[in-house]
Amino acid sequence: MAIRGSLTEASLPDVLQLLAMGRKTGCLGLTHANNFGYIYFTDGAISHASIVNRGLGTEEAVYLLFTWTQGTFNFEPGATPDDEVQLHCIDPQSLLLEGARRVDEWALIAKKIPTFDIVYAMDRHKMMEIDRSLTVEEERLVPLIDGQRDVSAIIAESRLGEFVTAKTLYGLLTTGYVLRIGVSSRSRAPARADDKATEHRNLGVAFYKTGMYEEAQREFRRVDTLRENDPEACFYLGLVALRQQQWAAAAHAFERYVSQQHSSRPSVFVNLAYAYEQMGELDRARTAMADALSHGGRGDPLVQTNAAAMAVAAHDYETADAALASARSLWGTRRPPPAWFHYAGLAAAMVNDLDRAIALLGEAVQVYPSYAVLWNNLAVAYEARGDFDEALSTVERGLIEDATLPQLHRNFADSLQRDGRFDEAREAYRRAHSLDAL
Amino acid sequence: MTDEPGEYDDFLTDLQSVVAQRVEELRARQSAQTPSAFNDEEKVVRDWPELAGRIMEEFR
Repeated sequence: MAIRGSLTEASLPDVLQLLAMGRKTGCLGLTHANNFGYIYFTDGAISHASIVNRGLGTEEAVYLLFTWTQGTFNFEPGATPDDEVQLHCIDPQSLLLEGARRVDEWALIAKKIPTFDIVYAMDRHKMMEIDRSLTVEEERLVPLIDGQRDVSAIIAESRLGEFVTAKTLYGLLTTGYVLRIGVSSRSRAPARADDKATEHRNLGVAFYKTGMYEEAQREFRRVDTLRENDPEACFYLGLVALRQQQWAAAAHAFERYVSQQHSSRPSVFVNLAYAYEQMGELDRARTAMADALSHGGRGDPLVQTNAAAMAVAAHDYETADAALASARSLWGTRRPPPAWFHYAGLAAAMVNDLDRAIALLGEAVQVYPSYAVLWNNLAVAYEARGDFDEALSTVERGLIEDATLPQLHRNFADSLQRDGRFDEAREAYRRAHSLDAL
Repeated sequence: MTDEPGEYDDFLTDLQSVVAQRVEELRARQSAQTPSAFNDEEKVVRDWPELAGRIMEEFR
């Protein structure tokens, strides 16, 4: 379940400590005015952090996020960073002290450097008057303080990071070595619509990935206004609608992508097929999935897995089995996602290859032990093969993961009944029935 | 009564082959059937419960 709140009610250090103590895995998204930052956690440790459109490293991003005392936060459990980002393992506690120190220093710095569009120049006379050797950081900054570059440009070119650059500049301003010239022309010029669209796009993607769907929808609608029929905006507006279970709106967004004849992407057709399937339009769903396969999807294991899921829904298990075999070979040595194991186990069982179903689901619960659905179907496969003791222990293991899955209680009841434990079985049937009614 | 193989023994031999054929047919029919538990939605979860497993969130 997502955790949402206001930063005025709970500060970022409080939230970080809570997530660290609970050894949480997921993504904490933070908004502040028009800015958005996020921190990924793995078992309570910070694995990655960033602020959209700022290009900061993980630690720098977290320190800057500490200065956000207003805005909102949203924790999306289970969310993981993109494959391409560099992962860390940082104890949040280790950042709290330095973070608190920086917050105090930022408050002082902001009084002298209120915005990053200010242009400074060196006061050479003053430097001659005061005989003081420069620090390493000052040596790096002085050539860049040229009356042309604004603070943003100095930060980017010095490669010292926002905090160290601003703090060093603050020191130079305090000693009088540096003079304010004005503000950069870039900040006076209205932002180009395309640049603004890119900023909104980046924000939208970050909001989407952290489970903040309404915010993502708002950003992509802005992109859509600034860049008419932007293909990525169509795609993400469709995804948001899927997440909100607004199937017709989702189908409309993906159809709009297709009708604009943007470059073919199988993911658009897969999502369109799912929207149609949920709307009960199965013929259109099958056509969209065929389009996904013919537009480059045959070589994509996720497309093949989704095609298999649709075949399972249509009780076409041979087709499903073949698509899943193709997906597995396309993944090669990479581990397929849990949904692949689910459908592979189901398809194998449905073509009456129980040994293979048990092998697949057995592998699945080893690599994805938190999915009760996988434990449940493995237990059914054991039961179907006559391995009743294995079925019972597998059901019991599944119930540890999720005691709200009605099928697990039903299978537990069947096992108890078989053992002659009739009173316990009756209770388990009752629980299955009441959970099913929810 | 005679110990030599007669009409009844021939009948038994014929019957044996027919029975064997029927048993094989039954076995084949049984192996083509799906285990009944997997057709029972009160026991099996058919649809993957997470949306992320049914859609593609990467723009590709």
